Amino acid sequence: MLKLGAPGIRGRNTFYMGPSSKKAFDPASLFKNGEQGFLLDPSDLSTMFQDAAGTVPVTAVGQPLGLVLDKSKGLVMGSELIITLDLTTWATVNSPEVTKNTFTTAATGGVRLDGVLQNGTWYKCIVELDSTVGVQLYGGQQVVTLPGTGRRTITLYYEASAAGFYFRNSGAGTTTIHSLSIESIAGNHAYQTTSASRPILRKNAVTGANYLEFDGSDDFLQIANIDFSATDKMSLFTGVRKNASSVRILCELSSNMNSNSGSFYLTAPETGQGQYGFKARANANQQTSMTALTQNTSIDDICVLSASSDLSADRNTIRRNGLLSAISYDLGTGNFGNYPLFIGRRSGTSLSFNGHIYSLICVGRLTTDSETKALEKEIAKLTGVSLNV
Amino acid sequence: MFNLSVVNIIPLAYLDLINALAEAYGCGPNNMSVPLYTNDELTHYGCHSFWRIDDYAEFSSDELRNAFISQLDAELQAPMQAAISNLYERVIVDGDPQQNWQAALAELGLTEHNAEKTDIDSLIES
Repeated sequence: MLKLGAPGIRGRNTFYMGPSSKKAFDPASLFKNGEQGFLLDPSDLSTMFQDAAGTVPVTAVGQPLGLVLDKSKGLVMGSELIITLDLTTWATVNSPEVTKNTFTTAATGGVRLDGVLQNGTWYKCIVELDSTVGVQLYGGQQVVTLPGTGRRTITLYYEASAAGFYFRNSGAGTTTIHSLSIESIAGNHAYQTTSASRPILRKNAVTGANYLEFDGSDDFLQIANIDFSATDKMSLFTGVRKNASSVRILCELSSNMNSNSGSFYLTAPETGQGQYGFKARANANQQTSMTALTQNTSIDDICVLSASSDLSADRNTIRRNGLLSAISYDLGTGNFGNYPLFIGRRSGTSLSFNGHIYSLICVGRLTTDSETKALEKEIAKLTGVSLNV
Repeated sequence: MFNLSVVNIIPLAYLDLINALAEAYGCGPNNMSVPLYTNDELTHYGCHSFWRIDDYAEFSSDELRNAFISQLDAELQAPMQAAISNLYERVIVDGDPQQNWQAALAELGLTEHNAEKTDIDSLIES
C-alpha cells in the first residue's frame, strides 16, 4: 500500500491552519482506528480539482470546486490493477477491431474494462493515449471528454459504476493506449458534475484560511453512499458563515433525514430566528424535539459548530463556539444508514445553503472532550472567532 | 479568475433544451436546477454560476451557438433557436451572487419556493 506525498513535508495528511499557524491537532487522528467518515480541508489545494473527474487541479482561490478529496483515510492508494495492458481481453462495444493496445471503430464505440473495478470505490487513473478521433471515458461520476486528437497523458479520479470503465471513440478512428494505470484511492470524496452548482474557493483575508463559498441558489457537493451502518454514534465539526433567514441545509446524510431512518442533518440556519440545528435519528418518527438548537444568532453569523449524536442514548447535541445545547428524546433504535451525503443543498434540489464552509469533518463515533475542544480550537483559528471556554 | 456572476433563467417549456445546450458545451447535466414560480405556478427554472469572462463570452457567442444549432437534427434547430432567444442572462463582474440572483428574480417577478421545511419551521408557522 502506498501513500501519496512524501513523509516529512507538508503532505496530504496535514490539516492546514493557514500560513502562519502551527499544527496543534491533527484531525486525521480521529480516524486512526479506521472509523468511517470524511475530512474535507479547503486549505489543502492538493486535494481539490475544478472538475468532478479531477483533471483540472485547483491552483488558486477564486476557482470552482468539482472534486474535493477526503483526507480521513489518508488518501491511501491501492495496488495497481493494470499489470499488463491487453485490450483484447476487454469487452467491446460496437465491434471495434482490437489489438493489444489499440482499438479501431467505424463509428462510436470502443473497449470496456469489466469485472475489475468495484462499484462505489474511487480510482485514480493515469492514461497516455493517442487518438485520431477523440475519446471519451465512461464509467464514473462523469463522462470525461478528452479534447482534440493526438497523444496526451491525463490523470482523473472517478467512482466506479456498474458501467465498467469504457474508452469510447467519438467517431470512426483509431485510439492507441500507450500506458494505463488504475489504482483505488481511499476516501469518501465530494464532487459536483454540474458547472453551475460548484462552490467557489475563497480565502479569509484575516485568518488566511480558505473556505468553500456556496451561492445560496444551486451550489452543493455530494458524497456517494457512506456506510455508517456499523455505528449509532456520530460527531460532526465545521467552521461556517451563514447568511440566510430561512432554513438551509449545511449537510445532510440521505436525501431527506425526515424520511430516512439512521440519518442526520445540520442546518444553517434551522429557523428564521437564526438558530443552527442538528438532528439525527434512528427509526423513530420525526419529532421537533429531536433537533438540538443553538441560541439565536444574527442572520449573518460566523462560528465553529460541533454536533454529536448517540442514538442508543437518545441524545443529540450541538455546540456553537463551544457553547453546548443538547436534547434528550426517543430517537428510536438502530444504527446510522448507508446513504449519500449532501453538502449545501437537500438532495441536490432545495434548501440551498448561503454561506461559507471552512472545513467539514464527520466521524462515526463520539469524540472525547479533549478531541472536541482541540478540534474546535483549530477550526476557530480558521474562522477567526473566539470560543466560549 | 471566475469573477463573473451569471444568473440564467429559462421558461419551463425550454428547460430540457437549454440543459442539453449547457451539457453539450461541457457544463455537465441539469445546470438549470432551481424551480421558479409566478404566482405559485411553476413557470421557469434558473441557475447561478461563476464564469471566467472569456469562457462566458464563448458560451454566449452567437456565432458558436449558431454553429451548434446547425449541427442539430433539422427538427430541433428551430426549438433550440427559440430556447436560446428566451434564455435570460444577468451578468455582473465581481458581483455578489445572492444580490444578483434576487435582482434577477425581482426583474422577472419570480419567486423561489422552499417547499420543504424542517420540523421547527413548520411548527413556527402553525
